[in-house]
Amino acid sequence: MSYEILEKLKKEISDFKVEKGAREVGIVSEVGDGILRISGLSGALAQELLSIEADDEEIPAIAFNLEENFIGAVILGEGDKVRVGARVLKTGRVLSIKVGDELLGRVVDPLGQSLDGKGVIFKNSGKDYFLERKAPSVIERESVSTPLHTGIKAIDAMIPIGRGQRELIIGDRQTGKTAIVLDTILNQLQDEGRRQIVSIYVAIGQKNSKIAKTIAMLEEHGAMKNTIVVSAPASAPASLQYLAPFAGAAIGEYFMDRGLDAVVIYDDLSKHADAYRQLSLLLRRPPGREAYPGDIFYLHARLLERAAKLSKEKGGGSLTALPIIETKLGDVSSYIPTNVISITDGQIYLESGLFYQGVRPAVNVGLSVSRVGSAAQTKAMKKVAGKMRLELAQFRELAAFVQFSSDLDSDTKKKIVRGQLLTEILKQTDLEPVRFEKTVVILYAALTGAMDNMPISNVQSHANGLWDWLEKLHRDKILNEIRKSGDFTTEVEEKLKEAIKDYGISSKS
Amino acid sequence: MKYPAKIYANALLKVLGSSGKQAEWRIIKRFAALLQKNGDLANYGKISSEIERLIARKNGGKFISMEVAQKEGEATKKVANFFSERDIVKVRVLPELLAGARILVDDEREFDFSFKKRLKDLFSK
Repeated sequence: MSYEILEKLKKEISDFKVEKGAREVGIVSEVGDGILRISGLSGALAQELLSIEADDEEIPAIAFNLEENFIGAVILGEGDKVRVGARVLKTGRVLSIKVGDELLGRVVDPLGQSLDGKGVIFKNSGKDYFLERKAPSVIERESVSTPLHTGIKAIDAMIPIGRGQRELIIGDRQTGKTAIVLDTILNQLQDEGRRQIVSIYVAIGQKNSKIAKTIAMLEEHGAMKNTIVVSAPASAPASLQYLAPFAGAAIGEYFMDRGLDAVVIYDDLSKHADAYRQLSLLLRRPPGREAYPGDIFYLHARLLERAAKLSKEKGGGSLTALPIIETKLGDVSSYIPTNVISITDGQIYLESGLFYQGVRPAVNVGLSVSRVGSAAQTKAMKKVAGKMRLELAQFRELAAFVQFSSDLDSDTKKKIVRGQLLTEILKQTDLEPVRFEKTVVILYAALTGAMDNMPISNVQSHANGLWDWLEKLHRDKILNEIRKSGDFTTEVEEKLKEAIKDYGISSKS
Repeated sequence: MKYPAKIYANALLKVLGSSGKQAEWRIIKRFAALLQKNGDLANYGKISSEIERLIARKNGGKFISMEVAQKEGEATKKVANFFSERDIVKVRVLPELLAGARILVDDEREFDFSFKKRLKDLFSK
């Protein structure tokens, strides 16, 4: 037996051919902080994947700066294993990630390595998708036409998001930015009548404990089966934090190319910009405003431009992008927030003032917009919520007079009461996304005056009671009708009016 | 390092090339003083090897860096003799190669005949 093995090994070694030709190499001349300076390797391409021959392993790096005498590269693995004098080889490839349906329910790092301890992701299957890919052209795209329901009443009613849109979520720390996107992921489980959405949550520079909590929550609610988490925590090198959103976009593109719908959440791009600033300064690129490099706008523009609704010829898939930006003391006019605001198709602005007043989600309806989403809003929601923005805007103008309400004329008083009612109706707790048909019927009841003479403290319980009533007695004729057709016909409206009236009578008795 | 080694080397060779033989010593002394002023004396090794590279290139030769696994022996000398007189050959002993040699030409092209490489290729096959 052992003789056989030795013979086989001998044969294997005798067949082995030694490479006799010269190979093109670079030499590491400086290394530190995850950055390399390489002399030689003059034929390397920008963004090319390089391989560093460390003592006992090969460590990948990306060529970032191609200068006259050297190459500036970013190490993608353990930087402390690289020594000065180590050989660096070109690979002729750019960075890519293995994608496939097997990724669903998994947690991966930006290079596609599993982080959840559930074993190997791909056995033989899986496609390589480039981390940097050109965004679909004008001809390959189509207008946004299908809604992406977030399960947040205020957003679905007034700042609707369409599949293929880029909607920014912006606000100070602790204002509920992540809660909104997590609700959006959870809501996809209950949003029937449309194609199921695959969610990709990209955590950049977050605490590991927070990421673990998020994953546990998604698993608990059963949402992980349609979700992929790309994790580059605060403890990960800046290079991985820089690559994380591109990996998320590449995974999203795989589903989009297959004619499916995906939503990719970048939580958050402020930390991504910080990671890129760190790399750029270490690579000695000239600093610009707030020490960010000159191409920071292009970095985020090319990332977010990859979100698209593809034409029917291209399969009709979509990739929606929900980037998050954290502001400091509500300052939206600083560099990164203004950049991302100008790139995206609208923003949801969360205000800490509202949050501490108890208005949660703390969406500032006046400053939030959705530039393309209204085209994708369902007819039912459009009909019901059309007037709402205006009524809330009027309320905001009059809000300063609330404390003098006894001295006001009846018309102004009415507007204030209606505004307070609508504000109360739009409140909801996190991790409890609301079905779109529920938003439609509750808002309809509030806007038609069914709750006008009610104390504000009773509004939520009345609304919930109405929903239970409708679910028990009118599910088929009203709720399923709205859910299936997405429309709010006069016939359904009449039935709903009648049901609301009946509930009013029964709840009083 | 205030300036890269290549810039120091280039500057020195240009000045030496444009001045006469009698000024050579004075220029070298001034260059050393400049290195001290800039706090780059510790990087003299890098600068000198850069100077050698430039000289080799100027004379139409190559800068050869030879790494051998064992102390320079007859074989090393034989290999070094393959190169032309215009080439600059530097030999360094690197026991981690286990056996054989590694030859780097102009810091870009490498011929690796070491046992370490052979073993590595064998196990990565």
